[in-house]
This record gives sequence, C-alpha cells and structure tokens, in this order.
Amino acid sequence: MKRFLIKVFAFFLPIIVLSYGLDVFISKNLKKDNSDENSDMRDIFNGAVNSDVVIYGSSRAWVQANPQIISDSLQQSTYNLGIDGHSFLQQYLRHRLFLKYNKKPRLIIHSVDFLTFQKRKNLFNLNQFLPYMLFDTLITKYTKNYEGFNYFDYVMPLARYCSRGRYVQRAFLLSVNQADNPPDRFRGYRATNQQYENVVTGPKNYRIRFDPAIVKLFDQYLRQCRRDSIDVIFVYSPEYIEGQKYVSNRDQLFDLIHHFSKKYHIQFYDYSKDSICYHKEYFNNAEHLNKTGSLLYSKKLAADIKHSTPPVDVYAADK
Amino acid sequence: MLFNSLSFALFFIIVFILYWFVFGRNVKLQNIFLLISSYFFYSFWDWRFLSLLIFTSLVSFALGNQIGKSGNIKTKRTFLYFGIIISLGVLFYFKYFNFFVASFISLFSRFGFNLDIHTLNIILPLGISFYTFRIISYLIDVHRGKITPANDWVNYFLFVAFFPSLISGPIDKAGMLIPQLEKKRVFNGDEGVDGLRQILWGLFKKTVIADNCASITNPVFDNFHHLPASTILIGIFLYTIQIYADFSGYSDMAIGTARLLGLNITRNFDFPFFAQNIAEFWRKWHISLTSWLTEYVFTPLSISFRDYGKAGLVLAILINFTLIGIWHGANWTFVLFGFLHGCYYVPLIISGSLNKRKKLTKGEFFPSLSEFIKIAGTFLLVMFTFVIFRSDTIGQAFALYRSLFSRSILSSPVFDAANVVEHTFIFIVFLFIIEWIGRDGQYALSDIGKKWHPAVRWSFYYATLILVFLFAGSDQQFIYFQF
Repeated sequence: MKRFLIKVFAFFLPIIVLSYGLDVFISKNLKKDNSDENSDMRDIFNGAVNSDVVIYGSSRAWVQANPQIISDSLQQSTYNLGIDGHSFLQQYLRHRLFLKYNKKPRLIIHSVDFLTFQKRKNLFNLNQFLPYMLFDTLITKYTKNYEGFNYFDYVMPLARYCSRGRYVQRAFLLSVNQADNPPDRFRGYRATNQQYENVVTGPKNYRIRFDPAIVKLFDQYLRQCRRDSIDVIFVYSPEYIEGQKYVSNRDQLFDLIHHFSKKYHIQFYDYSKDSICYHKEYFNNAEHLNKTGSLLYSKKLAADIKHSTPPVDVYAADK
Repeated sequence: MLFNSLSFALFFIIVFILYWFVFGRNVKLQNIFLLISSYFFYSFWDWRFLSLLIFTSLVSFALGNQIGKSGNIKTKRTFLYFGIIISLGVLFYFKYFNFFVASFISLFSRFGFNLDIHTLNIILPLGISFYTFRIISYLIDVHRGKITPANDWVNYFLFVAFFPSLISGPIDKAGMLIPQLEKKRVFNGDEGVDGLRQILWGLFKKTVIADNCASITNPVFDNFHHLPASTILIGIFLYTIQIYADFSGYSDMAIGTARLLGLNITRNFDFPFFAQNIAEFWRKWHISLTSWLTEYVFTPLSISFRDYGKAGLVLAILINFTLIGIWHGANWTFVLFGFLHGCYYVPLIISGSLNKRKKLTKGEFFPSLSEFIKIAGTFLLVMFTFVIFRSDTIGQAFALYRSLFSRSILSSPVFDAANVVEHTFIFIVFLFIIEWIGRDGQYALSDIGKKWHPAVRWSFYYATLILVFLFAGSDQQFIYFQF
C-alpha cells in the first residue's frame, strides 16, 4: 500500500503543483479576451469602469444605450454594464462586483424589461466568469444555482477549464497574440446595423414568469442604493410595436415597475410608446434597436434625463 | 455522481481511505462500509428507489436461503419461480408496463376496439435491469446447486448493490463476487496501479470520444430530415463509436474502481470492433449480459429445441436476441434491434461456422486483407442496426434509412461544429490504434507500455490526462443509465 500511495502521490504531485500555475496563466490570458462579455468583466475587475453614470439591464440596455451620447449630454462619465441574456440576478452580481472594484456611481440608469424578474436555468455566456471565479465568493453566490458550474469549479484550480478546452486554446492563442481579438464594445456598448429579423413570429402568447426571489432581491437592491445615496432611474427602452402584443402579462410588469418607482421615488422613463417603436427600420428585431435606432434613442434618453429631471451633477453637488 | 465527475472522485477517495485504513482489518466492517457507501451512492442518484433495492435484495436473500435449505425439488422450484416472478414482476412494472399497455391499446385499435386503459406515470429506477439480472442469476445458481446460498446478508446485499457495477453493470454472478466478499482482502499495489490505468482509459473513452461524438450525433439524429445523407452516414458511424466508448468506458471505470477495492468484477468488453463475424462480436460486446442470457436462456432453449436441428438453433438464437433487445428498453426499436442481430446469426448457423473461433493474427501490426474485410463487414452490419437502436420509433429508423440511401450521400457532409468533428476523428484513430495494439490485454492499456521506460509510460498517461482535460466533451449521461 505504501508503495502504491507513494507512486500515486508522485504521479499527481506535478499535476497539483502545476495546476495552480496553469490556472493563473490561462485566466490571466483569458482576461485579455474582448469577445462576448469579457471586456466588461475586465473593466469591472480592473476598476476601469469608474463612472458617474452606469447603465444596467439586459441586452436591451447593452445594445441600445450609447454611453458616449449620455456622457456628452450629462457631462458625466458613463459606462454601459448591460449583460446579454440575463435577468436581474446577474445584473445584481455585476452591480456588486462593480461596487467592489470601482468608485461608487452617482446615477444608475436601470433598463427594465420582460427579462428583469425572470429566472433562467442555464448560465448563458458563462465564459465571462471563468478567469475571475476561482475562490470568488460573490460570483459563487450568484452563479451556483444555474446549470453551468459545479462546486469544484469554484474552489479547485483548473477544474472549471476541464471540458472547456476551447477557452484553454484561446488563452494560449491570446498569450502569443495569435487570437482574433478586436475590441467590439465601447464602454460596454455595442450596436449593430442589421436588417430586421422577424423574431415576432415566435410564441404568440409569451408570459413573463415573475420569480419572487428576484423581485425581493430587486427591492433589496433599491433599498441599498438609497442607503448608499446612489440615484436610480428606471428606463423602459423602445420595443417594436408589433412585438409588444405578444407578452400577455405585460401589464403586470409595468405594475411592478410602477410599484418600485413609487416606493423608492424613482423616476420611470417609459419609451414603450415612443415614436421610435413604430419604425421597423430602427430595429434588429422586436426587442433590440439597431445602430440607427439606438443613436436616436440614446439622444432622447440623454436629453430627457438632462432636462426632465435634475441633472446628475446637481445631485452630486447637493451631496 | 457520474464516474467522470469530481464529486465521484472525492467520494471514492473517502471510501478508499476509510475502506483500507479504518476498516481494513475487519472484512465484516469493510463489507458493511461498502454496503453503506453503495446505498449512499445510489441515493445520490435517486433516494426514492433505495427501498426498492433493499426490498428486492431482502426477498431474494430469503428465497435463496429457502431454496438452499429445502430438500424437496418441488419446493425448491416453487421458491425459485416465486423469486423470479417477483424480480421480473418489479422489472416489468417499472420498465415494461406502459410499453405493453400502449402496445395493446394500439393493437386493439387496429381492429376497431378502443380500450380505455391508461398508462401510468412510472419513473424507471436506475440500474434496475442490472441488479434484477444479478438477483435472478443468484437464485438460479442456488437452485442448480452451483453455489451455496449466501450465509451473510451483508455480503449478499453488497453483491446486489456494489456501487461500481450497480448502475450500469457489469452483471456479476454471485459465484464470482460473493466468495471474494467473504475473504479478507489484501491490497495489491500492482493491481491498484492497473486499476487506475483502467480508469484513465475508461475516462478517455467516455469524455474524449463518447461525449464529443454525442455532441455531433445528437443534432444529426434530431434533424436528419434536413441533412445530406453523407452527414447522416457520419452521424451513424460516430454513434456506433459513441455507444462503444460510452459503455466500455463506463465498464473500464467500474472494473478499475472495484480493483482498487481489491475486488474483481466481470469483464464486459473484449475489443468487439475487431470481431470478424457477428457471433464473435456478441462474445466481445456487453459480455456479462450475453453470457447471462446464454447460460440462462439460450442454452436451456437450444437443449429444448435440439430435436429440430438447425431450425431449433435458429429459433433459440432469435428468442435469445429478441430478449437481449428488449432488455435494453421498452420500445419496439429494441425488439427489432435484437431480432435483427438474431437474423445475422442465421448464415453462421446454416454454414456451421457459429462456434468457429479464429484469433486475429498475433505479432503482426496490420491485419490480413481477409481479416480486415471481415472486421469491416461486421462493423458495418452492427453500425446499421444502431440506427434502430438510436431511433425513438421504428418509423423514425426507416425514415433515417430512407434519408441515408439517397443521392446526397455523395455531397459534402455538413456539421455545425466542424472543428469538433475533426478533433473527434483524430481521437477515434488514436483510440483504434491503441485498442488494436493492446487487443490481447484485458483492456487496451493493460499490456501497453509495460516494457516502456517509466518516464515514457508516465508521459503517455500525462498526455492522456491532458487530452481528457482539454478535449472532454460537455457532460453527457452514460447511455446505458437509461436501461
């Protein structure tokens, strides 16, 4: 037995020793990746977001609210932290990570939509967490209940890269600058000019399933923001008018937004009936504006925030 | 807790340490601990059916003892039949009830009768087909006097529920496992190292070959209507490799795990894709099931039908293989799969070459041309039956055949993830080379490299581990878990 154990130990020792080093190497290089959500995560962890105004939400925030336009209008540095395909649970994780590594913002423009209060099963775009998640308690807490990672992925070097060889390959390519890696976002924002895809042909009777835990978390988040003197405004960005009728319990969503708006005295900028919504040419699909539409919308949003409500720097001055 | 998961690795490390270092001095305690570990392992999958496992173990243990004690042949037989009926009854209820009800309804509706019978919402308990066959073999062997009834219930319950082979076999016979459980086990370092090596090879087959094949074949079988025949053909080929790599990979990991505990369980695969005819294939594929059915079904049937000559043999083979098919699941596709394999035997029976065994050329790296043709031919025969095995219905299988035999067979295959297909083919070549070189061993790596310098050998193991790390496919269930 002794000989066997020595042999096994000798075999696995190099693996154990090397695993942490290799993990650091892979993670360090993956952090250079600009695809998907990686540049946002890198900016969050490097403290490079550091903005007075941040935009939260799903892809409807990410591809629609241009931070440059808002920044120019408000004269406040702005960053778009919209996260593709995720509900408030992941938006909240971003919020927490953002506060942990960056200075506190003055204003959060929170884009709410049909995804905000819903729960999703799988951890979409999970690669954004790979370089940062080892021993990270926040990421563990907010991602462990999805289908995606298991316990060992959070606590064991290299475990999360097992079965995900393409990320390891990418890390090696990035280490020698051989990866196709052009930056595709500007301060978290990326717009595309695509033809309208008729995704409205999907389920005709889509029903939002409100997750009570997420609704509760949203309430807690708003309370925390009030406690930390961070102003929040709600925004409902334009949706193509034909697509709006397919969500059967849309009213419930708006009731909930108004409820929170009232409870925490948060202004609600609702663009769901804006003239943009009636022009197909401004959309990629029913839910997402294209580049032209997003520029138009961002200008409106920036102007409305600037003129219809007290400017952000006034708030800052008061404090 | 899949064998290829870190949770199983952690579970097994704890079991290994406690088994050898805490309970190692007392066989009884070792067995109790193994039994508890096995039940824990099973509960981790689905605790609801643990009581069923314990119940069937308890009943068969009691009946086995009654069979052993009784001096009256009739009484012995009654207890045996009672045990078989209970075991098969449980299996029938959980696995086949809905299938038969639905088939009856469908049959009667063809004659204009609409039966008002409802199927039930029954969940199939994991491993039930495997442990039921283990139990039945025990009862028959006790009845035949081949083994004495287990005198210790712990040993018997452990024989039924031994965790490495509980979920997907191999289907051990009591005569093989229980005597080992009664003896004091001494750890053999070389056996332990070999067990680890077998686990490594099983892990490679499962994660690198089977799981990558699955990621290619699942979309092919799901969307075959829209794919060219060339893509479907590659999909069928890869599914054949997948099912072998998946099941033999599982078996290697199960056998390796048992060896680390100082126990030997039945070999399940003997390089079946190098078989030169269908009879040889079935002597090498899922050996524990085929040998079980040969002993308890085919042999008694062929004796009963011996007066009918070759026709009797054909009939016995067809019944035997139809049962092999239906063992896999409650679906006509499995029945047809088994029956077709039975039909494949007919030319061998007629030509009188059923039991001819010709070993592959030893010492030569390449097979002779005739060997190669026979191997390839057998592989193709098997491959085409896996279309039926994989399909949800017989209609779907025939639709797949229709799509396969079309002009688009000459077009370029289309895959979503072409790079995964390329990788997978490279790994399959690697698998076949290693299996070919190691075909005389118990498993591919068992003899390979023993003469190599340890540094070269270890480098090979590290390289295999790196392949597993880098190229393991996304987590897929073992195919045989559903049976």
